[in-house]
Amino acid sequence: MSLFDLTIRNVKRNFRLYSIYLMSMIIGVIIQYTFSSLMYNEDIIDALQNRELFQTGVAIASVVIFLFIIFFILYANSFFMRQRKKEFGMYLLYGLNERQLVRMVFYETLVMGVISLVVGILLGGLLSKLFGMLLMNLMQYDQVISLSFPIGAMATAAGVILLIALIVSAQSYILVNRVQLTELFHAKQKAEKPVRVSPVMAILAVLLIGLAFFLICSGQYSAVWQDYGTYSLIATAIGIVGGTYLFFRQFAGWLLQLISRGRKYHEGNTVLWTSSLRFQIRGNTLNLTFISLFSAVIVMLLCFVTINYKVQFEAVGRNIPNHIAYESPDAATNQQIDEMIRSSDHEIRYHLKPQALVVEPVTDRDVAFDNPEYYVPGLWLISEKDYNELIGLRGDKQKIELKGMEAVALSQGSDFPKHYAAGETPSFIIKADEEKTLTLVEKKDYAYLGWATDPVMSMDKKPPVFVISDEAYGQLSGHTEKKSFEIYGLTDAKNAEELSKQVFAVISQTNGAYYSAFADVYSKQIESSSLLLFAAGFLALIATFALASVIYFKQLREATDERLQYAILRKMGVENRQFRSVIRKQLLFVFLPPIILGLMYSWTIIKYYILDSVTDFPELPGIVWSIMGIFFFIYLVFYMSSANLYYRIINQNP
Amino acid sequence: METVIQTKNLSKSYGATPVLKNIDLTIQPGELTAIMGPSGSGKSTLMNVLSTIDQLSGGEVWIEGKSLLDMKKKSLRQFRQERMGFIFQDYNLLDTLTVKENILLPLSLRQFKAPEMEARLMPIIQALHIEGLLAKYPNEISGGQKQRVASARAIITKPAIVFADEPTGALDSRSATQLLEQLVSLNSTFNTTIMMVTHDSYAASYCKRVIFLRDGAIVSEIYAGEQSQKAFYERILETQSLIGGKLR
Repeated sequence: MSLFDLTIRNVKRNFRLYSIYLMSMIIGVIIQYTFSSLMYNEDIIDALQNRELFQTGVAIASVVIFLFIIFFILYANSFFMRQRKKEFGMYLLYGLNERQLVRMVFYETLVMGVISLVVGILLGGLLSKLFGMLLMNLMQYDQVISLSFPIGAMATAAGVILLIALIVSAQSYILVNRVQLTELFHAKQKAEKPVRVSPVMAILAVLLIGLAFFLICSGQYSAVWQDYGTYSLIATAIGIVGGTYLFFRQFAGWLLQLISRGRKYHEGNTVLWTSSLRFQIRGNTLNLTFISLFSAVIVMLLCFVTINYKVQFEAVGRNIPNHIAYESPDAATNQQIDEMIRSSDHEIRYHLKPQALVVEPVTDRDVAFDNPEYYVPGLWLISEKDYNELIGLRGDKQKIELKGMEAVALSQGSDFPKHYAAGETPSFIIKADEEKTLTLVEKKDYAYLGWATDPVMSMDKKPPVFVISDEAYGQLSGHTEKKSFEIYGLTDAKNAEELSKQVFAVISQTNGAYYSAFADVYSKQIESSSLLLFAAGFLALIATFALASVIYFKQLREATDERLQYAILRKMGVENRQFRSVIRKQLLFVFLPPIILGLMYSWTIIKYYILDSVTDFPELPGIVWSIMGIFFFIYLVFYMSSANLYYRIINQNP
Repeated sequence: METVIQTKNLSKSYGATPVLKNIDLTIQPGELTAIMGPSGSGKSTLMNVLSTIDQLSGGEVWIEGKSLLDMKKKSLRQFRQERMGFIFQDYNLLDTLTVKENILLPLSLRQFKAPEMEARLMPIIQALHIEGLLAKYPNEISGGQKQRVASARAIITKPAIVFADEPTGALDSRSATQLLEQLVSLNSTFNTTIMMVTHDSYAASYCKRVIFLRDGAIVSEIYAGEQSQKAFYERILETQSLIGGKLR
C-alpha cells in the first residue's frame, strides 16, 4: 500500500475530523480570496476617486488577514494533530519512519488544499461581488460590480495554501518527533489538580475591573484624565487586562468553590456542571480573557467606524457649510464665475455678497479659538446682519443678537463652546487704525465661512471669524481694510466637484485668496469613511470567525476529553435530558461572563468617549445598541451550537 | 420479605447463538451470591439481563415482584436508577468529582435533600473506612480505595440489589481481601443483597452462595452454610474440578 493510498484511507475513515479541518481551510481561502479579488477588481478601482488610499488600506488589511489565516489554520491543525497523536504512534510502531509520516501529512494537506482552493474560490468570488456592491453602496456610487476571477487573486490564494501546507508539515514534523511510543500504552489521565484559589486574588480581580470602570466612567474631562492622562491610561489597561485575567482564573474559581461549599450543593445536578469546570479553569483562563477583550475590540471598532460614517455626512456640512464661497478678486472675475455656475447643472438657491473687516488681534487668539494654529492669521469681523441673513438661508437655528461692542467668536469644531455669563465675559482687544476692546459673549461651535478647501488637498485652514454688532461694525468700518466674499447656495451640492474644480482654477490665480467648497471634501470624506467602515466590517467578520473557531475547537477538545465521564454517567442511569441541562449550565458559566465583560467594556468606552462628545445625533445610541445586540445574538448562536456539538460528541462512544 | 429476583425459563440469544438457556433462579433479600463460570459461560450476559441493561429473548424475570416484560424503556431506566446499585471492575468513578461527590451523585441526581444525604453518607463511609478520603479526587487514591468508594456509591441509594461485576478483578490480593471483607460486612450490617460475577474462587468463597454456569446453563449451586471461609473455598475448587473445564 503506497503512502498515497494510506492518505486516502485516512480521510475516508476519519471523515468527521477531516471535515472540521477542511472547513477551516475553506473558510481561510474564502476570506483570503474574497479580499484579494476585491483588491484586483477593476470595476471598483475605476469607481474610486482616491485610489492610493484604497490601495494602502487594502495592503494593511491584507497583512492582517494573512496573519489571521495563518493563525487560524495553525490553530485548527494543532487541534487536528492532537487528535491524531495516537494514529501517528501506531504508524511509527508499525515501522513507518518520521519522514514518511511527514510526507503523508504534506500530501493530505495538499489534497485538502486543492479541494478548499476550488470551493473557496467559487464561494469567495460570489462573496466578493456581494462585498463589492456593498462597498459601492456605502460610497454612494452606482457602479455595477461584475463577477470576476482575477488571476492575481487566484495565484495569491494558491500561494497561501502552498505556504500553509509547508508550515503544517513542519508543525507535524515537530509533533511526530515528540511522540513517545510509551504514551500510546497509557490511558489518558487527568493528572491536574484544580487551580488553587485565594479570596484575596478574587477580590483583587473585582477591584481591578472596578478601577477600570471607574476611570472610564469618570469621563475625558475629569481631573484623572486631564491631569494624569498617562497614568490613568496605564491603570485602565492594567485594570481591564489584568482584571479580566484574574477574573477568569481566580474569581471564577472562587465562585465555584463558594458554590461547592453551599448547603444545597449536593442537591440536583450542580455537582455535575461545576465539577469539570474546576479542572478547566487553568486552560480556560487565556481563552476567555482573549474572548472578552476581543469581543470588546470588535464591538468598539464596529461602533466607532459606524458612528464615524454616520457623523461624517453631517460633519462635512459643519466644517464646510458653504457650497461655494470665495474671496472676490474683482468684478470681472466674479462675473465670469457667476456665469460658470449658472451654466452648470446646479441651480443657485441663494447668492450673497457679504464683507468682512480685517483687523489685527492684540489679545492672544487662544481666548477665542481652540487650537488657533489651525486658523489663518489675523481676524475677520462680520456684521450681525450679514451673519443672520446667511444663517436664515441655511435654515440653521443659530441666530445671534448683539449690542454695543459685543462679539461672538466662531470657533467651529470646539470641544468647549461656551456662553459667557454677565460679569465673566472676556475682553478681546483688536487693532484697526487704533485699538478697540470687544466683549466676547459667546464662543460658538459654528462656522460662517468654513475651512478653506481645494479640490486636491481637501481641508487646509479655517478663517478666523468674529460676528460683531451692526453698531460696532459701523464704527469700525472705514478704519480698516475690507474683504468681499461671494457665497453661493446650490442644488445637489454633493455632486458639485467638477464645478468646484473649475471655479477653483480661476480663484487660485489670486495668491492666498480664500476658497471653500462643500463638494471638495464631501466625496473624499465619504469615500474614506466608507472604506474605513467596510474594512472594519470585514475585519470584524474575520475576527468573529476567529472567535468562533477558538470557541468551537475548545468545545470539541473538551467534549472529546469528557466522553468517558459521560459514558459512566450513562451507565448510572442518567438521562439525556439531564445531560442537556448539565451541558447548558456548564457552557453558560463559560460563555456568559466574557460577553458581558466585553460588552460592558465597549459600551462604557463608547458612551463616555464617543457618544458624549457627539451629542447632537440622537440616533447614535440606538445604532450602538443594535451593533451590540447583533453581536450578542451571534454569540448566542455560538453558545447554542457549541452546546449542541458538545452534546453530540459526548453521545458518541469513547 | 419480597423475593428480590426471580427468573423462569430465562433465555437469551445473540442471533442464532444461544447464550443463556432456561435459567431458573431465585434471590432472596440479604443474600450474598457469586456467579462463577468459565469465560463464555454467559455469566456477564446473565448479569446484564438481570440488571435490565440487556433485553431477554425468552422466559420471564421479576424483580421485587415486577415483571421486566411489562416495563417500558423509561420506567426500566428509572427502576434501574432507584432500585439497583452497580460496582464495576474498572470503578467508573468520575475523575472530576471528589470522593464525597462521587458517592452522593446518585442521590443528587434524584433530587434528595442535603440533610438526608449526609445522614445516609455517615454510616456507609464508616463501615467502608473511607472517612479520610472524602475531599480527595479519584486519581489521588489507590485502586482498593476507589473500589470501596464505588461500593459506597452503589449502596447509598439503598438498592434492592447490588450487582458487582468482577469487583476484585483490578485489585492486588491484599486490597481484594479488604474489599471482600467489607462487602461481607455491608451485607450483614445493612442487609444489602449483593450479586457478584467473578471467575476468582477466592472472591467467591466470601459469598454465602455460589452458582456455577457453563454453556449458558446453571450446572451446580453450593451454599456456605456454617462452614468457615477457608473450607468453603476448598469446596468451590472441588466443585469446579468436578464440573470440569478450566474456570476462566
